[in-house]
Amino acid sequence: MLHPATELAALLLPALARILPDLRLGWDEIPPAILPLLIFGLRTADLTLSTLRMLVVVRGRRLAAWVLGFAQALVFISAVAGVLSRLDDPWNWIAYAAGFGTGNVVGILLENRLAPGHSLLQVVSSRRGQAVSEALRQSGRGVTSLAARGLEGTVSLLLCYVPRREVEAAQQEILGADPEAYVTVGHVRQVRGGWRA
Amino acid sequence: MLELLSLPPWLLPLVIFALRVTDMSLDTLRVLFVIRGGKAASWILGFFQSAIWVVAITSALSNLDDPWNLFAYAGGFATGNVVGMAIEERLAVGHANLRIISPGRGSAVAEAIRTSGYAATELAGHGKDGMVSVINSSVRRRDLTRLQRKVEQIDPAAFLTIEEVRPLHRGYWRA
Repeated sequence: MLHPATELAALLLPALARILPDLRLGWDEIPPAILPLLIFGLRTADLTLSTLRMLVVVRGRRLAAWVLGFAQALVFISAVAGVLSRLDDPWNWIAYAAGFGTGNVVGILLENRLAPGHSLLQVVSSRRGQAVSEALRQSGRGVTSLAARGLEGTVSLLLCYVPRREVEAAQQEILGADPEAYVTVGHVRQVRGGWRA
Repeated sequence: MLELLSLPPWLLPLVIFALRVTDMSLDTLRVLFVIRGGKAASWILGFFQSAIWVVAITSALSNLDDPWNLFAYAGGFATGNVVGMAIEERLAVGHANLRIISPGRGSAVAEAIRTSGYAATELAGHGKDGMVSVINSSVRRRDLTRLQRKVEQIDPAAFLTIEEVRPLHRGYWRA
């Protein structure tokens, strides 16, 4: 059985083989005013793909990593070829560098938006631990509370695992129940089992 | 460099592909060393990685009229990336923190971890339906799956999370 991505690659490869030589020859025909824009676009796309690739690499998805890596390297080498085809125009270098910077930022935004995986929220609440765990459970989250000792006596230490996408919402719930709560967020690689409403 | 360019045209894509696979694999190893603070090893790996990369990209860029060179470059990058992932998984260096929240069978789980030669710290916690045990255990990543399976066998209801940890100090390691 073929993976859909493999079929996609099989479709795209011959098409790319036909287009690419034209694309390269095209470098000399592209008006000098447009070339920097094209380089900028390619470089931004390159880094955006790179972010997506890192996301699938972390989750160990090899096929997706291969496909994204292939696309990324193709885009990258086209951008470099564009710059090298007209080194005398400094706008080409600037576009290349600006594309890198912009792609980085787009990557961060994309990563935040997709936000895969889970986070561990650790809450230290000196007085209102009970209220905080109830607030979290009411929104359907699993909470484990531990009794711990701080500088001024007994405090509650709460552990709560949430999908990364919901970290912001969970934080609001915590601070709503105890504005003085101390909250840290940690990255978790894998979660198995547990309770969710 | 000059010898590379005088290669027969059908061989060049293969060479570019192989160069790129090598440099990406080296890159994976380099990142592993960087995370662990191995300065000398990172330097050496970084040196060879970028040297190989420069040869690969110049060969591809100076023969742009053959699209197979571009495919070889991109395919080598993608394959090297996956090879790097496999190397990383195989080596599985470093430690991970296993945190288990067990409603009923906390002490049995902790006991099983201890008989496997790792330290386990039990804490009494409070969950939705009453008392639970929280068990912390730092283990080598290599042993992670084995231990995870053991825990799941003893308490199928256990809630299990894994975090990667930076180098740790002291404690009880392997009887």
